[in-house]
Amino acid sequence: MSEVYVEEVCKQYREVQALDNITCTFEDGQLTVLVGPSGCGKTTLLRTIAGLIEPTSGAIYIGKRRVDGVPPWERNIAMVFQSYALYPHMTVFKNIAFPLEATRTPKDEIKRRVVETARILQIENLLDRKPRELSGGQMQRVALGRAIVRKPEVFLMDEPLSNLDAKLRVVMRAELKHLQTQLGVTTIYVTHDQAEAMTLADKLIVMNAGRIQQIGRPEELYRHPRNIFVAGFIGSPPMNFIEVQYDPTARALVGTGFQYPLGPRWLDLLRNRPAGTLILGIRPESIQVSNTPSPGVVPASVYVMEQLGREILLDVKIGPQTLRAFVPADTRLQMGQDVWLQFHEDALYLFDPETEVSLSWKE
Amino acid sequence: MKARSIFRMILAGLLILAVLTACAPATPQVVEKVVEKPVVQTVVVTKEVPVEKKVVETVVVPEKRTQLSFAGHQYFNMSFGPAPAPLEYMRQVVAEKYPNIDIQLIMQPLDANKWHDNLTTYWMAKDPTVDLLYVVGYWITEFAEAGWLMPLDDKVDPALLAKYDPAYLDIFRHNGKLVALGPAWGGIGGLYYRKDLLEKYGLKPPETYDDIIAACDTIRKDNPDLGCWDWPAMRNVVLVNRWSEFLHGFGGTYFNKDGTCAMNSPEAVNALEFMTMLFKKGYTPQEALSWKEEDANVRFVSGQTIFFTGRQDLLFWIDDPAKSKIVGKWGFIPNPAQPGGRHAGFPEFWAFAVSAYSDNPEEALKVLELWGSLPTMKNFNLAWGPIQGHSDVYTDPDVLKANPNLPLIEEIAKTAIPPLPSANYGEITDLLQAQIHSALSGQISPKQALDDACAAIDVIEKGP
Amino acid sequence: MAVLFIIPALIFVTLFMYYPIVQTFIYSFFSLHRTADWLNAQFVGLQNYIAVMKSEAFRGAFGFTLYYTVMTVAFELAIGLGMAIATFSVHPRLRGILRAVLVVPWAIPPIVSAMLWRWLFHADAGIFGYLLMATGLVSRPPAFLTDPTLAVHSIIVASVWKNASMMGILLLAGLASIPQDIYDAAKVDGARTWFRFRRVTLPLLLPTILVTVLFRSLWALRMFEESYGLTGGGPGTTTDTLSTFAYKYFFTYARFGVGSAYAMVIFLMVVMVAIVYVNRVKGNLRFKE
Ligand SMILES: Nc1ncnc2c1ncn2[C@@H]1O[C@H](COP(=O)(O)OP(=O)(O)O)[C@@H](O)[C@H]1O
Ligand SMILES: [Mg+2]
Repeated sequence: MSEVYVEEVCKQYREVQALDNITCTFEDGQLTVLVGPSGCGKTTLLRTIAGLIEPTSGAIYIGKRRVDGVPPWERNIAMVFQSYALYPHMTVFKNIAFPLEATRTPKDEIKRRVVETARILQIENLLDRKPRELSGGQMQRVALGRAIVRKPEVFLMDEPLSNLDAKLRVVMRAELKHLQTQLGVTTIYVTHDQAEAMTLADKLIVMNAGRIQQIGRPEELYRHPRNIFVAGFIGSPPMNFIEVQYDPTARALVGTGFQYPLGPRWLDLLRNRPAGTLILGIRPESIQVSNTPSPGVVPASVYVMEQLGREILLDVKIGPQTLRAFVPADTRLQMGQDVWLQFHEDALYLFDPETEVSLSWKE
Repeated sequence: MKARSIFRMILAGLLILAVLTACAPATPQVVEKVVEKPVVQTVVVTKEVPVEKKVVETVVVPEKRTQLSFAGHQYFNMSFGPAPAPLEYMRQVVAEKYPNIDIQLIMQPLDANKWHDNLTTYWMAKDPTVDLLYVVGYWITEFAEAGWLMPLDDKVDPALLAKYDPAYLDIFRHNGKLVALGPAWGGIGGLYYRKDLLEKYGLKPPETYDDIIAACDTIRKDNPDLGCWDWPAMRNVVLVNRWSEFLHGFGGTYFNKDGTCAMNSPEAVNALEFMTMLFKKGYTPQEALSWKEEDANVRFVSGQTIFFTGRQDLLFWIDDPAKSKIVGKWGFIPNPAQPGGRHAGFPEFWAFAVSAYSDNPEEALKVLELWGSLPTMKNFNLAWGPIQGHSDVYTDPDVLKANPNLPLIEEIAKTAIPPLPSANYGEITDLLQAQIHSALSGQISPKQALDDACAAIDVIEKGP
Repeated sequence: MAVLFIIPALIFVTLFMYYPIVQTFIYSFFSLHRTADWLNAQFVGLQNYIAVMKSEAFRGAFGFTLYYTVMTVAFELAIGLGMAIATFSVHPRLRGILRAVLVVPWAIPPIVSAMLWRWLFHADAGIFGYLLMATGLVSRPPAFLTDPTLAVHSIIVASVWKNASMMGILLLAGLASIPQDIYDAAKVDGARTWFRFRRVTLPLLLPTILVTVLFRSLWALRMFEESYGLTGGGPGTTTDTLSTFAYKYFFTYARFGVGSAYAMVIFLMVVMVAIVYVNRVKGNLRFKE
């Protein structure tokens, strides 16, 4: 078990910069999730760590050992693929035994360890079957078995659950987390699903367009997103963004049809800023909607209502811009009806429109 | 479901068998035909119309037309001398005399074996596809015996027949009946030698086989890299042609008077033993056993060998400095013969015949007569070279001018021997090819080869 | 039921495909020379088959054809596999070019390639003879086409050259159909190159190999052009092939009775080879579905 350290890694395909100067640490024994939209370079980074892709530049360490240039079969890692990549011509037993046979483990030990692994994953009754005789969930377990049987230094998992149906995915997610905690092996887990990332991760690395956007614990990223991208990516439904004008003399943010007076915390943060455009961010769950106007509220009109059962997800319009907010399930509202929105100052985020960085962000 | 799985099994079985059927040999129904499009006869009339514009009208001649198909090879579309390609000329003379007859070429492969097989396949199916055909002398017995060729004696103009050399016509007779008119072109085997070398060593052109060996021994003493005697000995039809020249040169024959095989007579065994010796002692290179005619031709004209046995058509280009290194340094004489044997040249004489299954025998005969007449025969000579059966060809001034070697060829043509006279020519020569080649490559003794061959040939001819 | 609608087509296909076999089977019991009219011919029972069995030439051709088939298919498989793997392991952009180069020998018509090889084996002008002379191994060019042993192997070499590339192309397609993830999985599982090839690539390629070998063997058993073009069956009868027999008896000799017996015997042998083979490998053809 060891920590994985990636230092200034770049990967250039002909036109695409798939990895742009990636530096990060995957702590020993922790489950780190690489998350980002599809095409952002997660798989590339994972495969670079596995040795299946050689980086254009940079260094990779597993434990104390520098491994770039070392072929994958000498890196002592295990990988779970989205397609499971089981060997179709081998039985489940043989599939799980394969990494041990490849590393010349004695026969009786292979048997012992395969059976033990199968027991952990509750697939002892499947050992004689061929992959084509298994269900998706069973194949998933076999793939896991093949990964853990070797006791590798690092687990690499590339969207391992995305071929499962939604229900099974949730079950397997929990089992996976449990298994990882139990084994305590450094795990790098790739997913594009932020909810999955939030539930699994000890630590999250958010990527976009080949770059790391932010690294942190799930609740850190939720509370203190570094920039618009992370703020919009983490959380569901995503954070609302409205373009506003900062008016230092009025000490307020001015939007279409509303003026939002700023409190002392924000005025302090904006002290040196001239008048100009800012991006205001507010999470749907932080907006309070009321039927009656009161001072400091933002007028809006109901556009769409989505009954979710526990609550209603509301789309409201402020001028041309749309915001989403939650109201209790029994709220009586009509389409087109006027409502007033209240943002709590503490739940507010402000971003620089040029750099997209949060104004409250501190390194 | 049960029915479904049975159905699947049937399908799978069908599929497997389909693959296997592909492995079974073809049955005789399948014949490849390359049919050349007939020339559409159109008359173009150009009228002067007063309104300054020319109008071209195309009028298709409406009369009933007869299509005659002719089985020949691609050379009919080629000329190698100062005359149009034969087919072009043949169509021209027909169009002039019989404007209602169209000639269509049914293209045959250059490989005479395959050509033979095509023809027999048509006829066995009584297929009237072919009206007129070009046949080689050694097919005659087989085709005539089977009744596939129309007898010509009382149908062709006697005056025309009288123009033909009777010795040549004999090659196209079966049981006294003429079944083909020709040759329109012919090849005959003779001995080429290096006149310059023989003269240098004061040697006369060889008369006997022993003379050749002696000449080689003398000349090669100073020129060890020079070949002695090259001839094509690959296992194919030509091998039997060359072999029959040796057979007759040593005094052998094909059959005894009673029709039994004579090809294992002491003379015949001597002949084959001599041939085998040529390879064993290096007078003929062992590689010649894989040589076709063109391989051996090239060796002689590039000056690598002293003697060469081949057909007279090499004369067409032997003095062409672009292709030959021995311009003016060669001689061409009849094949040698040991005392008691005869100088023998194997004739590959090609003639015109009419198929017994033709739908238009009258028209076909008319065309055959036309093609057998002097103008067409002369055109053959000028386009392809000799040999023609029509005697007037040899006195024609154009021909004499274009063929300075004609007297040489006439001399050799006199040594023509009849091909093996059997209705089973194909089968017997095939057997001989294998036996002779086995002996020449040293796999069995010559006597054994010929004894086995004769035993088998007697069975083929007479039945077990 | 759907099956009913297919029955007419099935009958048609059956007749169309099997008519020649049935006809050949019938012919083989009659004495037919220069005629195919078996209704008026003499029934001779098994005599034609006895003639086939007694024929020494046939046994010789059988031996050669079998040896030729085993040798060519074995070498073609080995070389084809090598070519496929080499092609597969280069960059995808190069792969296209390499594949095009691979097809060339196979795209050459058999008769043309026979001419080409006659030239290469030629004693005076042939490159092989020249090279052997240049190395000083021999004092004169070997008789590639006229020495019995050399002739057999020269034909095999020419065939391997021509067909290995076809094998290569088919195996390449087989290789390409194995998902990349599986190779990658084997790599991270710690398998080195040879172990990966033996335990993953080869078994996954096995169905392709088996089918390719079957088709190529059936094809090789029908070999004709290579022999005909290079040696004419010589020296003597050393390189006569099975398929020339039926052909000669049918077309050159016009002996349809005996010819049919030859055809039937060859046909049955090929069927047997195919059945035995398919039975043997059945288990290996199934894991993919
Ligand atoms: N072999 C390749 N050649 C060229 N571009 C590639 C290759 N592999 C990936 N890319 C590009 O690199 C970027 C990152 O890909 P990837 O790592 O697979 O994304 P993710 O796994 O985050 O969806 C994408 O733009 C993709 O198109
Ligand atoms: Mg990916």
